[in-house]
This record gives sequence, structure tokens and C-alpha cells, in this order.
Amino acid sequence: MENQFFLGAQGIPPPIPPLDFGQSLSSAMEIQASELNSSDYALQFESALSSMVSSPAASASNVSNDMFVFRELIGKLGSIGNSDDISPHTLMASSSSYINGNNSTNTSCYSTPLNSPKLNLPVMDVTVAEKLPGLGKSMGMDSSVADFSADPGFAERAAKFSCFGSRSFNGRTSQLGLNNNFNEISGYRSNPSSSNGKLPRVSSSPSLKAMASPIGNKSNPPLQDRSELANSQEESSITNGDPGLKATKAANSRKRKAVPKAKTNENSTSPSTNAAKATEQNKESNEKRCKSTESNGKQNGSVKTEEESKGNANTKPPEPPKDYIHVRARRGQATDSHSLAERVRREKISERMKLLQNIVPGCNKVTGKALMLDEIINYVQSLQRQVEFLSMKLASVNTRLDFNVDGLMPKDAFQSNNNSLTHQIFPMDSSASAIFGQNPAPHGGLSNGTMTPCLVDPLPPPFHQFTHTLPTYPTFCEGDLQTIVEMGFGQNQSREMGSQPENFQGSNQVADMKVEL
Amino acid sequence: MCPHTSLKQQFLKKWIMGLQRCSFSKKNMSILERKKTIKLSADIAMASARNGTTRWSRALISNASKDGSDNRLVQQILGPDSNTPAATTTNKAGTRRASVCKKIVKRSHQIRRRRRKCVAAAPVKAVTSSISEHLVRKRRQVLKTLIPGGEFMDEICLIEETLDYITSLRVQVDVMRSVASACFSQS
Repeated sequence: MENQFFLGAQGIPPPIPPLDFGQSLSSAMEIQASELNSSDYALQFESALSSMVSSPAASASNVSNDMFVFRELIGKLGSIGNSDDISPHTLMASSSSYINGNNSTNTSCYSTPLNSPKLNLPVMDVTVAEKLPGLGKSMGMDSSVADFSADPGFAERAAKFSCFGSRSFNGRTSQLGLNNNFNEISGYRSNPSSSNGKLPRVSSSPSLKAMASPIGNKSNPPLQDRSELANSQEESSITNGDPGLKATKAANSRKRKAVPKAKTNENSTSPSTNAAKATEQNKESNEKRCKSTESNGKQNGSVKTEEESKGNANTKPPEPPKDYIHVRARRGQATDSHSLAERVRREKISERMKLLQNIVPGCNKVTGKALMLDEIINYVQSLQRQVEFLSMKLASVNTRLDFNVDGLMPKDAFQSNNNSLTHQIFPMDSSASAIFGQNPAPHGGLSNGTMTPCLVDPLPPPFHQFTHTLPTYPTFCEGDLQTIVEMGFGQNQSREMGSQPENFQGSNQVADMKVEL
Repeated sequence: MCPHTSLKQQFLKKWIMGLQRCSFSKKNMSILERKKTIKLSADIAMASARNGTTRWSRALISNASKDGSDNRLVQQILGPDSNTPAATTTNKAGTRRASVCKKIVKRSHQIRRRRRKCVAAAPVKAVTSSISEHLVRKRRQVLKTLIPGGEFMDEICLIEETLDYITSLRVQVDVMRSVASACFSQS
């Protein structure tokens, strides 16, 4: 619906100064779109994962690649849902053993992703490793097929994840890698036919967190636990994402917070130097990645402003993700996703407040949100009071004169209308003469063009005839309007006042006055 | 006010239409009733001039439609645009639900932030920032009550709606003032 507002707002006619309002609206629309796009946090990670898939290709066959993709996905999913409820520590502990147990393979995994263009991957690998300790233990790295089949929810979750992402993925076509991911993941969905029986269980349970512990107690391999947990987390994340954009963003920012946390924990627990190094680098890259994915496409403008700080911030990770628009944290500012989101939001708000400053008189000297809001509130209140007062004034006009509206209806009232028109134009002369336009004809023509069609349709038949009776006066509709206004207030002016030539002049003047408005 | 010319014309036209329709219904109205009618028709005209593109206009129309006594009036005024009230009600429901969920999330965020601030920030800083936050929040609440349909908007949206609402109010005031001056100048 916000989208609706913005899209509709773009269609607001130009009378509103396009410089300020239109720009703000267009920027708002961009921001809105980018906000929507930034919520597909999952998609970016998927793309990262896909590139990561390509990295351990040397070590395994195609299936193992797929498995890695899934692992990474699961890891990501696990970390995403891993915000508060499920302690990463248990996973860390198990993951550390996993890492220790499969050091060689892990290093191979870790080394290659660092060279990959998509840098977030190394993080993924770690998370994958930490999240799937049981995988290595129970299956072993070489039995890729077994691993793959043992994670029944992988494809399901991956598919769900892609759906989750695609829901918010409103035309984010710049991320080319994502499309590939979609294909891969959708392909994966069809694969685990062997584990069909487990899929319903995985997908059907909404409160998987509660189930997680009982699941853990089962005799299933720990892999299942992880898959259930990850799935529950994913489900919770998906349900979190449903209520609205903010919820998604909140969830996303929470997930991202969890990821660095997980990284730090893993750093502390994993003694292996390779893993530590990798995780360090991964952490940094992850943080940067977090920032980039978080604000991915939020504000292109802010990206441009922070280009210079990019070089300073981007020291250690070799290559930033290229197909994302990232908002880097400025020098000396906090880099966590919360503050980034806050900063973007604050910038948006300040942008709009500036626009308001231009509109509300007296706001230029005021600085600070509270004071400006004060001014705005005062202004809106004063405008509303003015409307009240003016409507009261107009109502009082009615009391003085007959509120004779029924006189408008019958045909013979037209003559009275005609006469009253001549008279009623007259008062407009006095007010209009002051603002009298120099070229009544074009203005009148213009206003005529705008007003006539409107007048013809909604007017009741009597007025139709009224307009038709005087077709020669191009500005007649303006005068007609004025007449209606006067009529509406029930004025039955004396008819002897109007003089014919003045009427036409008057009508021109009226038209001009309207135009001048 | 050149940029607002077409908007003013639109508003005036719609207002007059509305007045026509309302005035046919009753012969003898008290002054207050008349004032109410005038104001209502002006408001509806203003809101319909936006063609449902802004939230405040939709909220205004739906509020007016909900009120039983005004409903007839609104229906009369919006006779040809019969789709507008339906659209507004559905929009309102949808926005309300979404905004309620957003509110819940926001509140939870605020609570989190407060907790974090209490832990992390220095006490002096926390106090001043909380005071300023409090002030801003108070004013935002007031603004929400002023703008029709403002209670369901988040901050960014609120400011934009305020912008639009202010321009519409200005147009309304200008047109009404000129009409009133015209009426009074002849007497």
C-alpha cells in the first residue's frame, strides 16, 4: 500500500512544485523500492552461496557442489533464525569438533572461497560448518550423496528460501547471480525424492523451535536436528517476514547481528589456525557483507556519498560484491546493521523534514526535529482553524440571504439564473479587477477547457441548459461556477444591477480570477 | 499561487458540486449545520481531488463515510465516484492491519534499543537522548492526531502525508477565502 501511495504520488499533477515534491516522491519511491528489495537478504546470501558452490568444485563432484550449496543455505538459514532463541553455542561446540575433524576438507573449502568474487561466501562456509557438525560426523565429507540425502529439508528450505526472497524481490534484476541461484535451488527441490517422507514433517511444523528439543532427543542423526532447527528458524524468519517490510527488515538486521556473533563465538572455540584465519577474514568480510546486503539498494545516493570512505573501509577483504549496492559505514561510525538501518532511516526522515521546512513558513531558522515538528503542528492546526472559520463565515453568509436552492431546479429559474449571473458577476468584478489578467481570452480558453467538461457532466440538466444558452462566452463556465456558488448560498440578488456588456467583461474577469488562483 | 491553479480549480469545482448536492436535501438548516455541510463538502472535495493517491485523503473520506449522519452527505457528494468509498475502506483495513503489525515490531525494536542504550551508552547521554526522543515522540503523536488517518502511519509516511495535507489545506483556505470575500464584497 505504501507502494501504492508512492506510485500514485508520482501521478500527482505538476501544479505541486515538481522540484521539491516530485523529487522527494521519486526518491521516496526509490527508497521504498529499495527497501523492499533490501529485504531479500536471503537472495544475496544465496548468490554468495552459489559462488561458494563453485569453489569446492575441485574437491567434489556435482552432487557435492549441490550439497555444499545446501549446506551453506542451511547454515545461512540456521544463522538467520539463530537470533535469540537458539543458542549458537551448542552449535559452535559441535561445529568446532566438526571443523577439527575435517580440517583438511575445510581448509580446501575455505581457501577457494576467498578468491571467489562473492566474498560473503567464506562466511557461509563457516556457518555451514558450524551448523552441520553432525553432517561431517555422521556422513563424512566424501559421502556427498549421503549427506545430500540426509538433509531432507535442504531442498525444501532452499525452495522456501527462494520463495521468501522472491516475494520481496521486486525486480531486483541487477543481481544476476540470484537468477542462477533460483534455477539451482529450484532444481534442487526436485532432488531429494528419497527423503520425501521427512519433508512434510520438516515443512509442516510451525513451531519447530519447540520441536527442536524433542527432535534432538530422537535417534535421528544430529543432522536432522540441525535441519529441523534451521527449518524452524527459516519458518520463523519467513513468518516474521510476512507481516510487513519493517518486520522483515527487523528480522534481517537481527539475523545479521547473529551472524557476526556466531563468527566471534566460532573464533573463540575453534583452535585450528586455518579456521581461525578464515573466520577472521570471513568475519570482516561478513560484516562488510552484512552492511552491503543490509542496505543493498536502500539508497543509491548514500552510496555515492560514501564512495570515498569505501576505500578506507575496504582494506582487508580483497573484493567487495560487485553486483550489490552497498552502503558502507562511514569512517568512525558503528558498522553493525542496526545502526546502518537507523542511519538510512534517519536520512530519509531528515530529507523529508527539509521539504517540510520549505513549505512551512518560519521553519528555516529552526533546527532540531522536535522544534520543527512543533512548527509543523502549529501550522497544520492554524490551517485547520482557518478552514473552520471560513466555513463558518460562508455559512453566515447563507443566513443573511435566502437559501433558496430549489429555485435552481426548475427551468424558469434559468432566467433568474441568467439575471442573477449578470449581477453575481458584478461583485466578482470588484475583487477580480484587482487581479484582473491582461489577456482574458487565452486564460479563459484554458480555464474553459479545463472546466467545461467537468461542468457539463456532473451538472444537473438545468445547468446543462444554462451552459448551452450562452455558448458564445468562452469564459462562461467560470461565471457559471461563480453563479453556482452564489446560488448555493441562496443569494437572490436584485436583478436590476447587471449591465450586459459588463457581464461579459465580468465573466472574463471571473475566469481570470479563477486562473489567477 | 500558480502551481496550485489546477488543484484549486479542481477543488472549487468539486466543492461546488458537493454543495449543490447537499443543499438540495434540506431547506432550513441552522447555521451550524450549514457550516458543517460547507466544511464537510470542502474536505471531501479536497480529498477527492487527490483521487485516492494519498493516505490522508482516503482516511478522510472513509471517516466521513463511517459517520452515520454524514454518510448521506458523503454519498451524495461522491455519487458518481462510487468506487472511492469502497476502495478507501479496503485500503484502511489493509493499512490498519499492516500498521498494527508494524507498530508491534516497532515497539519491540524500541524496547530493544532502550535496553541496549541503557547498557551501552553513558548515563548522561542516555538521559538527554531519551528526553529528546520523548519530546519528538510526543510531537509525533500530536501530528498523528492532526492528520486524518495518521495513527496508522509510520514516521516517514507521516511526514510525507503531512506535506501533502498542508498543501491541500492551503489550497482549501485560499479558495474559501476568495469565495468568502466575494460573497461579502457584494453585500
